[in-house]
Amino acid sequence: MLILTRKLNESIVIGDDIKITVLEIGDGSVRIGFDAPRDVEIFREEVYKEIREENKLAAEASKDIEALEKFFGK
Amino acid sequence: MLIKTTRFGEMEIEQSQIINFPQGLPGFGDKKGFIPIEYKKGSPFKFLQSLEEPDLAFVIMDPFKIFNDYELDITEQDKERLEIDKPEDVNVYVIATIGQGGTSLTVNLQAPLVFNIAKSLGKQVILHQSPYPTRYPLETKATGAGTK
Repeated sequence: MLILTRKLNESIVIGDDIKITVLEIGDGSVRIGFDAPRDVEIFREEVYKEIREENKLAAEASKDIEALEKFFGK
Repeated sequence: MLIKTTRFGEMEIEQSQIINFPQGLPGFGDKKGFIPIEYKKGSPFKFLQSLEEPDLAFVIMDPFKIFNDYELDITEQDKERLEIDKPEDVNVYVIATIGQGGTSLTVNLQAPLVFNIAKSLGKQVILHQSPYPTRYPLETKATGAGTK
């Protein structure tokens, strides 16, 4: 993991197209701005992780045919 | 073409039934081809079967059947990605997770699947400003039909 230290209003550049700027430093949190091409998707980590985990659970659960029958109905 | 599936055995499918997910799905980034399968006629549930992985399938359903004020805002980016020309081409589904032994069912309203059926493209869209949960519980058949 690359670790950098930035002050307020300083930026980080990733590749050619992505820029991250420290906009505000608060008490226990930091506001970060992103400049990125439209096709790059940016998420809070916990949100993405939650969706990913739910997908995996859903995929696994769909193998339980008996359980499915209950919901698909007769 | 013939595809192999764990739940349904070998199936003959048409190219036109395939929905392409160029970005895969979160957790399944390399799975790009899926086909919706109607499991039982008249059921609000379908399967979304992976073409690449016979064992992989999701239970999906139309969220508007259970939640008639479900709202989602498709960003310009996603409209471009999905090449959406007209709203009529858009189908929305949500992934259902069935709890242990069929005692619970939740649907992921926060990250619906958006299909452009005219272009056979699909994407799981994570709603950013969403009041909706990842696990919205539906009632089981034991207590009554699943409605809000």
